[in-house]
Formats: sequence, structure tokens, C-alpha cells
Amino acid sequence: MEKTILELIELKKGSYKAFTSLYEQYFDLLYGFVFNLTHSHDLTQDLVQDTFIKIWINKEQINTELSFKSYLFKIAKNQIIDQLRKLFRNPVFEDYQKYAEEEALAENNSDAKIDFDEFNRLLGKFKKKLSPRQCKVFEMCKEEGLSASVVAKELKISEQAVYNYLSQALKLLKQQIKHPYLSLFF
Amino acid sequence: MTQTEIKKLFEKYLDKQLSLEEFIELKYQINQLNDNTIENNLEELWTSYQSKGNRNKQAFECIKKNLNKAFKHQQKKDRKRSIFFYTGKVASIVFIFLLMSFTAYLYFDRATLLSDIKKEYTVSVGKGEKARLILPDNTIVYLNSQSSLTCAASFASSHRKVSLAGEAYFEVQEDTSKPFLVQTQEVNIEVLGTTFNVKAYPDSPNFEASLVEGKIKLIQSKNYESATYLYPNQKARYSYQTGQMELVATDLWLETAWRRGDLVFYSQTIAQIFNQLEFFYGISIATHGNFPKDLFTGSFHEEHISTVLKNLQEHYRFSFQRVGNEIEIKF
Repeated sequence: MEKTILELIELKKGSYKAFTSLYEQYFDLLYGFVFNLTHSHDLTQDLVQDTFIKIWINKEQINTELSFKSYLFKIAKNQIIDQLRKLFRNPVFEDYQKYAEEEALAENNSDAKIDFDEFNRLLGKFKKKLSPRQCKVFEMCKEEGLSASVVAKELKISEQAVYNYLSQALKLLKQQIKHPYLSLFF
Repeated sequence: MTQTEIKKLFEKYLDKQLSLEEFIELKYQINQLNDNTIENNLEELWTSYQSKGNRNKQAFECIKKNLNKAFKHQQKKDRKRSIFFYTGKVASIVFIFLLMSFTAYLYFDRATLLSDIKKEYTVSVGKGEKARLILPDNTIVYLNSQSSLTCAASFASSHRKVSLAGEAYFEVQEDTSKPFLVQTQEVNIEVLGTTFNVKAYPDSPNFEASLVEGKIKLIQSKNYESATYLYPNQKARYSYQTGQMELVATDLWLETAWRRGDLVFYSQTIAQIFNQLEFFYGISIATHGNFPKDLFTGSFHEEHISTVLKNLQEHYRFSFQRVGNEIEIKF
């Protein structure tokens, strides 16, 4: 703890060396926490980078009496909350959760699953294999979160047809995701 | 739901112990709760959080490299006036060093203070490129292709005002003491902590603004009495020709696709698609032969135009060849 206070004082004075040292000490903490919330390396990397940038830019305002851990949270919290809100509003994230839960039950291990970035990438790959209709219905229902009746009206088909296309697409998706390595060869 | 129950949900989420029903409940709660409550819950979890030790080395090194590139030179007493622009694995970032070094001037050089106050700094983005900036008040601005943002050196100290030509997506930091102002050609926007998209290209017949979150006020510079308020999921379009402002239907997901690096097509003709590809990737496309009439719907998130074209070939019959910075397409 003593060491950190000295480093904070140095950082406040503009020491890049102190900044690097703090980065190395606190990276794992921030990265790990944010990744557990977002399940996305892309998002986490952006957020962690932005946070440390802000710390350097605002280094003269650091209160050296407070713990650096609390300070980190203070700087990062707005972006974290924003990202969390966006994530939980994203219909695809809910699908990811469903997939994750099924996998966890099947494998009996909550860590042996792909992260959200990988899920989105596989989704993109898999969508290319769908027919234009299946793809359109899938996107409107699953990515935009539209209800079946709205989709039916938009595409001028029956609600039943919407459900049919969707279930066809989801069946294919399940097959693809279960064998992520196999799908890379198709 | 009680505070304790909500807290339990967050805890379980972090520990990956959440069932699907609990997830849906948490989703509902997050939507309802205000930022302060979420913050308190997260803060408690943060305080007791300890890292497990399996570090993402790639991310660590990449960020470290970017930080060094941006700031390491500041160790020497070298107040260079330059704008850095580079693409890393994590989105493009541009720093306005001049604004940061401005605070240093306050302490060191009162003589140049006045001239600095008058100065303006502009960030421009070329065709097919995008940039992400962080302003001194922690507002984040994403600039789309062929756009530029200007702000005064006094941005952080007095009022928060920027000028935009082109398209940008703003995530404004809340600060009730200083409203955030965006000036464009003929329409100005007053903001108080909000997320929105503005499209004000100089050669376009219209100005457009779409609101994602928060609230903004649009004022026409030709008509100061006018004030149009936008609420989330609304879009306003102003015609330079008629001077009329109207609210139109919006598809926010579609309009902000560029910011996510997504290219989205909704029943577009192949000609429209090629236009968008040219704009998005900054590459010219020359075509030969007759255009098929089929409409296409799809979305892409690809770094290279060739991947997109290969995919389009599954729907349309054509061949393409890359010649320098141009693509030739034959139907």
C-alpha cells in the first residue's frame, strides 16, 4: 500500500514510469471485472484502454489519499454502466445467455464456453448459410428484438411463417454452435 | 424486488451462477434502475473482487503499446503540437494533445495564454476511415468517414462547444453546469448528457439527428425562435432548401450501424450497395455490364471489402478484380 501512495504522488507530478507501474499492477483487476460483466474481450479492451487514458489525462486531479482501486472504479463506472445497459438491451446477448446456460448444463462447467465476441462471429458466419428469408426473419426477431407479429406485417407473410423460418434458422444455429471447429471448414 | 434481492442477482451474474429466468429478471431490473443504484451494486462487487490471474496478454500488450504511443513522449518537456492518428486492434483513437497541453500553459506561460484561448483544434477523418475521440470532459465522439470536428481550446474551461461537418455519434458526459453544444451548418444542438447521432454533410440536402438516449434540443441558426426537442428513438430531418424541420420514423439500429463497424443493407439495389461500399471502405468501384435487378438484404462486419464482395457473389453473378485502390466489377 505504501508503494502505491508514492506512485500516485509521482503520477500526479507527471511520472510516466509510475503510470506504467500502476497499469501493470491494476490491469488484471480491471480487465477481469469488466470481462465478467461484458463477456466480450473487444468491449473490455476498449473500456480498460479508455480508463487508463482518462487516468493519465486527469492525473493532476488524483486524490492521493484514496485507494487507487476506488479511483479506478470512479473513472470507469460510467462507461461500465453504459455498456452494461447496452448489453442487456441487446436481444443477441439474451440468446448468448441461453446458449451459455445450455452449454453449462451439458458440460457441467460454467467456464467451458465461447465468449460473446466469438458468439457474434459464429453468428455472422452461420447467417451466411441461411436463405435470404430465414436470414431476414432471424435478424428482425433476434437482433432487432421485433415481435413476430411486427415481422409478419413488415414482410407481408403470416405469423406462422415467421415462426417457421425462425425455428429453421435456430435449428441450424444450434448445430453450428455445437461444433464451432467443424463449422470453420464449411 | 428488494435491494438485497437485486444485489443477489448482480452477484450471481458476476459468478456466472444465473439461471435464464434470473437473467431475464436482471435484464428487467437494469432497465428500471437508475445509474446510481446500479453503480452502488457494482461498487460493492468491485470492492470485494480479486483477479483470478489468467491475464489476457494480447490485450495487455496492445493497450500498453497504445498508451506508450500516445503519452510516453510527454515525459520529456516537449510540448509538441501534433495530432496523432493511428489504427490499433482496438478502434481508432485520436488525441487532441493541444487541449491537454493547454492546462500546462496555464502554469507556465501566461503570455501565450490569450492566443491559445482563441485557438481552435480540428480533427478530420478521411474517406473510408473512422475515428474515436475523447474530449477533455470525457465525452466520446465517433467520427464517420469524411467528417471533421472542431473545438475551441477553451472547451474544458468555459462552455462545451464543438462544430461538426459530416457525421458523428456522440456519447456526452453529463454536466448540468455546462451544456454541450454541437454546431453544424444550419442547425445547432443543445445537449445535457445523452447519446445521439448527427448527420450534417456539407453536400447533402438535409441535416439529420437521431436520439438514442437522453434529450436534445435542436435550434435552427436561421430561426432562433425555433426549438425542436427530441426524445429517445426519435429522428429529426431539416431540409436546407425549404428550411423545414420535421420528425421522421427512425431505425436507430440501422442508422448507427456505421459506428459499430456494421454495414447494413435493407432491400437495396446492387447500385446502392456499391455506393455504400465505396463510402464505407474508401475504395472506388468501376462496373461493367448490366446490373441485376434483385434487391439485397444483409449485414456485414468485415475489415476488407473483398470479403463482402465474395459474399455478394453468392447472390449475384459477377467477377471482381482489385487494381490498386480501385475495384473492377464485371457482370
